[in-house]
Amino acid sequence: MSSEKRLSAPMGLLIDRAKPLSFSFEGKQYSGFQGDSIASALLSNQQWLMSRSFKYHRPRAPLTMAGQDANTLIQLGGEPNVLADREMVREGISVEGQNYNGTLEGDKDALLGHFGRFMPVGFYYRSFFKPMGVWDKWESFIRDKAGLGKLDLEFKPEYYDKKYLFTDLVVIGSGPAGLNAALKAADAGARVLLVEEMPLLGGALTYNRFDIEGQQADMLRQQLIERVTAHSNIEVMTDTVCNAWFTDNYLPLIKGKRLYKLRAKECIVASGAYEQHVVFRNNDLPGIMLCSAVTRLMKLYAVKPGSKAVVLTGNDDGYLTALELLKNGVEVAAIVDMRKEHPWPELLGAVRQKGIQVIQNSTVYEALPTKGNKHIRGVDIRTIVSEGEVSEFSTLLDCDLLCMSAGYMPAYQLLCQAGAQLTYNDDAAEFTLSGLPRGVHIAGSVNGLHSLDAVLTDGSNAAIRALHNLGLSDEAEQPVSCEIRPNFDWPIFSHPKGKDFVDYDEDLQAKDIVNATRLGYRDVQLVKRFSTVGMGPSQGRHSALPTARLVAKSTDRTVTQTGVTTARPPFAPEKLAHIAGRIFDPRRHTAMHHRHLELGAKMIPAGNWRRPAYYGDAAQRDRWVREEAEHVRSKVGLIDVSTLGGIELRGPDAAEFMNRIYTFAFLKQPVGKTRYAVLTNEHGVVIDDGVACRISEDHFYVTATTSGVERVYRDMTKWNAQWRLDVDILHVTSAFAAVNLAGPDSRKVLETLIEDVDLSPEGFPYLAYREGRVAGIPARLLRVGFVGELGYEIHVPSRYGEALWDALMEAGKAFDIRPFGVETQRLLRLEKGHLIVSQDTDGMSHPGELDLTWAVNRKKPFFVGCRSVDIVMAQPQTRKLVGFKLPAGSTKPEEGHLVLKGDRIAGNVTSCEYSSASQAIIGLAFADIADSEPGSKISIRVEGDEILADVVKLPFYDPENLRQEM
Amino acid sequence: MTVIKPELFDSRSFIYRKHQQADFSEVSGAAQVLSYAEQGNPATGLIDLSVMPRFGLRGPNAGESLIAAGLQHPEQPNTLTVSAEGVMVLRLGRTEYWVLALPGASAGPDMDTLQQQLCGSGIYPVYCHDSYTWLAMAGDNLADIMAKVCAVDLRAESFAPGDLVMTSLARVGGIICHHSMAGMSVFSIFSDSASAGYLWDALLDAMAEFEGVPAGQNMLLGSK
Amino acid sequence: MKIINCPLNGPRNSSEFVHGGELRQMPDPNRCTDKAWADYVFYSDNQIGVMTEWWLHAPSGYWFIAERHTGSDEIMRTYDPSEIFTQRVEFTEKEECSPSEEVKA
Repeated sequence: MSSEKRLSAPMGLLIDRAKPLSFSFEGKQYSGFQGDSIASALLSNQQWLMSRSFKYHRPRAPLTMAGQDANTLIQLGGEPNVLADREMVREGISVEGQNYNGTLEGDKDALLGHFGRFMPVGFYYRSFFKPMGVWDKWESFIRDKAGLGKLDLEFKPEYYDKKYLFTDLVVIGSGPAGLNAALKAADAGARVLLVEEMPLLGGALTYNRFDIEGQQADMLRQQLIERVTAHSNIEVMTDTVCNAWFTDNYLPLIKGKRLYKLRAKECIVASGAYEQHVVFRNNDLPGIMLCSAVTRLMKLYAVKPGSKAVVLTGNDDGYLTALELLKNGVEVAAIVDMRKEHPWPELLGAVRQKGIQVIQNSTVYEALPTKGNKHIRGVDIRTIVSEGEVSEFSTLLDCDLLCMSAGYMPAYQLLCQAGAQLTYNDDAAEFTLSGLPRGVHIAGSVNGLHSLDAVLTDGSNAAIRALHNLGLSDEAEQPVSCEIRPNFDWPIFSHPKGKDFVDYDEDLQAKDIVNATRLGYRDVQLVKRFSTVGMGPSQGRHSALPTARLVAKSTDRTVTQTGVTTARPPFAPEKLAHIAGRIFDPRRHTAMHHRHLELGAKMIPAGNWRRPAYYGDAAQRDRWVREEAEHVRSKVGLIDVSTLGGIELRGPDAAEFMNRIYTFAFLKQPVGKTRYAVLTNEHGVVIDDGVACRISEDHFYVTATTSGVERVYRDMTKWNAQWRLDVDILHVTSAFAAVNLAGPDSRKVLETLIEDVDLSPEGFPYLAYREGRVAGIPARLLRVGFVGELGYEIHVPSRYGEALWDALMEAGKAFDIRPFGVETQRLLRLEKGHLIVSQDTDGMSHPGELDLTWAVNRKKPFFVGCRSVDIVMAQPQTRKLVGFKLPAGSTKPEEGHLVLKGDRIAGNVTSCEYSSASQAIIGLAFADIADSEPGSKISIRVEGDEILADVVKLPFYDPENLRQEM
Repeated sequence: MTVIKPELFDSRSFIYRKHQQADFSEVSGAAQVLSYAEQGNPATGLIDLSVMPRFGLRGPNAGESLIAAGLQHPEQPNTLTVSAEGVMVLRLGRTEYWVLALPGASAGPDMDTLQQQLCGSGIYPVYCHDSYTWLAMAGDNLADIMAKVCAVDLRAESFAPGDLVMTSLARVGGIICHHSMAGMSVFSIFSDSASAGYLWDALLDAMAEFEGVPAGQNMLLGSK
Repeated sequence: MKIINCPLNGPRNSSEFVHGGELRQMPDPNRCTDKAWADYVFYSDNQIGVMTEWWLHAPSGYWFIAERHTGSDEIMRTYDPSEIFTQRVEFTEKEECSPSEEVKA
């Protein structure tokens, strides 16, 4: 049982030894405990190998134990690229390695490593660029070799969603700085949200050793957590990643299957620092880990990481790690300290007293592998003679574990997204952050502080700054100082045989970075794009610092000048499910929606509305449209036009306002009449149209297009914010359900339902407006002619929409009424030559091009766009919207097909349909002005062929307009 | 006795088909959901009040006319009042008001009479009965539920009873009003009537986590 | 996401707002030259600095004015348009001879 292999408590903060679990890896059964990560459970079973590297297929094992490297990416069932050191093990799960050919143990592609010298940096860009087409041949092979993991195409969707969160102060990171900041702020009365990526609060306090005795961290952690969890002003979110910083402290927090969108008044980033690796040959062998990874393994999971260790360090933390290893029964063969100077005397004394050998001014120059590079078996230790250079004399030591620490890189990502700048401090050999925006504060090791006292004070100071902004405190900050300088300035020891990895994710060696600069890519952003450094899943957490140093050195610049690449969101890889989860896609339905469904309508989107296109199956679309059209022309049809936009203008200046907004004259429009209303924008381009009803002297009801009404309404309210006319503008689209009852029998149908309106041609003539009750429902009635038959638009309060529809369909039975859809309506209006704004117009169409000059009053003082219309109309016109006709049986042009004039494009087809009323294919198209007169011919390119169409006079149907005026 | 069903009336809620399990009663010429069958006391309920009487008015003289009619005038823009008789008055922005009869409103106010009283020059009617659906979410965890569809902080400390916000919920424009009935917090939600079905589903989905269910007006009256 | 402080509705996410363009003085459409009109319609200053802009709070249909720095995106001030537009705007009558012809002459 694995329990025997584990270290005894209090090691193993995260695991519950009472709950053993079993799972499989690569088909073999393993055991672990509740609370184990997949990686810790595997390591407790001595299974180190977890993945193969991206390019050379080298065996890889955990480096950070904190989800900060790509070495632990595994396949979990159908889900690829799961971090084994972050994902908790669950009973019965089946885990596989990734990126191998054959088996993880015996990856045939591991041979690729031997060809490394033939695959220099930028290999793919440079090798498959010429000759033309060679990439196409290689692509599938390369993609096959390069892909990570397998997607499960049979996956079952799961429920992911989003939620907003609000707080006074958010603290990102629950290390000592974050905990202390949260407490300080909460004590002062701020509502605090404390966000921690790990399952446990405490940050470095959960694994790091800060003192010789190894007690300080545990005591402090318990104290702080006790207070935090008991504090009513603090809400804690563990297992939660803050994945970006957006303007005004808008932070995406990912927890489980939910993406929280947090809005915080103040934000403290106490995100800590990433321990850095040392660059030497074979620094990627399984068994080589960061010091913090080794202490995490022991303290969080009670896993003994090896039997004989070497510690390679550039700071005192390596010594403390050695003490921790020793305490847990791991022999420490040596501490190899890259520094010339000793650590503080008590610490040096303590390790010497335990019999640990300390080798100063030296480094591991090469790690020695077991067969197949499966694990470390020893190290080649050399004295450092100058920056990055070592002596020829080697000391070999056996070991099965190498712990390393070259220093720290602040977890700068969120802060840089907030606008902070990174500056390299040459004395301390580390990056520091400055220039934070208001409302964002920094605390702890991300701020370059490393002693516990300094970190705690810094956390409290950050809280004080946040409290100032919240108006909750005027306390002064305490001075902070920290003498600890954990970064070794040049932990890079390039080896002539390479495999001295700077970037593990992308298999990039020290020479790859240097070579990129020699090829002319001097800017670190270009080095990244050329070499792919920092592009892997760990996003430069370990490669950014050595890359900056290498690029600076080989281009003779400072590290500050070189800098690091931009750290864009997301901070950590996030699933598409988090973005896609529970997206809102509003649908609008008219009051008659369900009646359309019952009648078998084919519903189509119109903006966010759903409208019937026609009634029947899509396979026989042409038939239904033709039948419905013929029915309207010969009997009576009913169409739901509720989606038509509606705006009411009321007040003493309503007519004046209409007159300024629309092109026509409206001051003298008679009450009880409708008038066609065209709208141009300030450029003189036609942007919408509708029908204006004058209900009373100071009351207009105007329709607008379904998709245009929102814009029309906004434009109207914006204009009147300037004009200050005494008019009220109300958007009433949803207030009215509306139908168009059209066809020669429409009057007869309506007569059965209406008593209080004289429907005779004289009493209610074409273009008139009346109010009355239809089947008892209060209604606005418009005699309009859009489809070119006798017809009535009936607008009723939308609550009555369904009852109105039912009443008309019932009353219409005697007249063989039939519902018709939008596509039928489009054909009917096309037969009448009526244009649809935005279908038959484009962003350049002025009234002259559309034959709408009759609807423009150019004498009135003003309408929006009047001056532009004057100017463009004074220019020679180049094109015009014309009607065209093709014999039935011709190839039907589609909307968008080009109209050619010689080899020049003169325009395009905007509408086209077969019309049984015309016994021909009819359409509207923009044509050259020279071809716009009836009798001309236009050439339309239809699928490669050019066909000639006759330009004809509009309308195609009922040129005398007798039918609509019956 | 006739069983009250929405189709018996010309005036209908856009989403009456959602209420297959419900009992109805007649309210001013339409069917109002009384309760859902086999339902105990849900912690959180969503109630369709779309057919409840209401009207709107706006314009420079709208506020004065409300005061003259003896209605409780909300002093600040984006606030509301509820009278002892169960009449709720919303003030949307500076010069728009809605007058609504809450379920159980006493016989006192006759909405039609009120509406006729509230007209004149500088007063323009707003068709809020038809433009907007009226949904009430009542009970526990309202702010938590709404945080799944709305970006405005609706926790009690920033959204007190008597407050209202005009915002976007589930990507539809809407008005959320905080008041209380039967000792419960109630969010009255007004949104585009054409989106009622969509919003109903979206809200119920957000409520599911908190065991919220569709309910009837009885929940707001504290009766079964 | 940025917060915009609506003078009517208070601070809200910028997704509730619609940008309405720079606030610009319309030249007298019946008196200005073609060029002055074209400048008004087509040219934006597009400068780095504090711009006065129209913004709409979409859910309430409320237009207001914002002074925004186009470099830092900081909004210095928002206020009701009535602060600028204090009185009813009238337009002049058209002249017999259209100005566009004058310019050409």
